[in-house]
Amino acid sequence: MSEVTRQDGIIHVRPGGDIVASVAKDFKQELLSLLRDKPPELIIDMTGVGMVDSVGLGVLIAAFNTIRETGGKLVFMHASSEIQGLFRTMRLDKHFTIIC
Amino acid sequence: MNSGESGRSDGSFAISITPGHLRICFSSTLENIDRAIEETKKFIGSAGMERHEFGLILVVREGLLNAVVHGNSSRCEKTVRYRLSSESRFFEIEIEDEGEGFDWRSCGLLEIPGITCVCGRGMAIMKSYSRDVRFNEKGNVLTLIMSNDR
Repeated sequence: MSEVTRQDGIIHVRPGGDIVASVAKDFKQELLSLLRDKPPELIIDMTGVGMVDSVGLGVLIAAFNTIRETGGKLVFMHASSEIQGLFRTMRLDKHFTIIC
Repeated sequence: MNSGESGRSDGSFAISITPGHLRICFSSTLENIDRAIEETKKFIGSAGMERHEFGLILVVREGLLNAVVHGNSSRCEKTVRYRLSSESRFFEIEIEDEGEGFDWRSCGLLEIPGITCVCGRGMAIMKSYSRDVRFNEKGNVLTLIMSNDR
C-alpha cells in the first residue's frame, strides 16, 4: 500500500518499492481509485523505487492516459537515473513530466 | 554436489550456484520471479558486478515474466528454467518455459508500442538493454547476451 497525501487537490503517491508484475494489479487499482477524484495533478514520488518492469510501465501509462482524459497531469519526482533512462528508452519521457 | 557448488530447494523453487553460473528452476508464479530476482542480485553482488545490476535485472525480469505469463500461461504446475552465466566477456541468460512456443519471426515484438498501449513493451526492453536476443526454433527458449566489460 502506497503512502498518499493530498494538498490543494494535488495527490502525492509514494509506492516506496519496486513497481513490478507482482504488485502491479494492486498498485493500478490504487492509482485508478485516486484518479476518480479527477485531481489536476498526480505526483508519483519514486523514492525507494529501484525497478519498474514492463507491467509496471503499463500501470503508469494507464494512469497517464486516465488523468489526461480529464485534463490533469502525471508527474514523476525522485526517479533514479536508471529509471529515467528506461522512460527515455521506451519514449515515455515525451509524455511523462519528470522532475528531480 | 561438486566442490564449489551450492544449492537448495523447497519444492516450487530450486537454486544451484557454481562459480560463474546461477541456475534456478521454479514453478510459474509472479512471487517466484521476485525470488529469482533476489537470488540474481545476490549472485551479481558476490561476483562484484553491481554496476551491471539495473540492466541485467531488468532483462532477466522481462525474460522470466515472458516465460511465466506467456510461455506457461501462469500455470504453477509448469516450470521455468533459468540460467545466468558470467564466465566470459558476456553475460549469457537462458530462460526456458514449458509452453507451446510462438512464431517469433513473424511477430513485431521488438517495436516500442505507442502511448495508448499499456502492454507489449517486454521484448522491446530486452532488445534495448541486450546485445543479442535469440529464440530457439520452437520459441520456448530465450537467450539474452549482455556485455560484461569488467
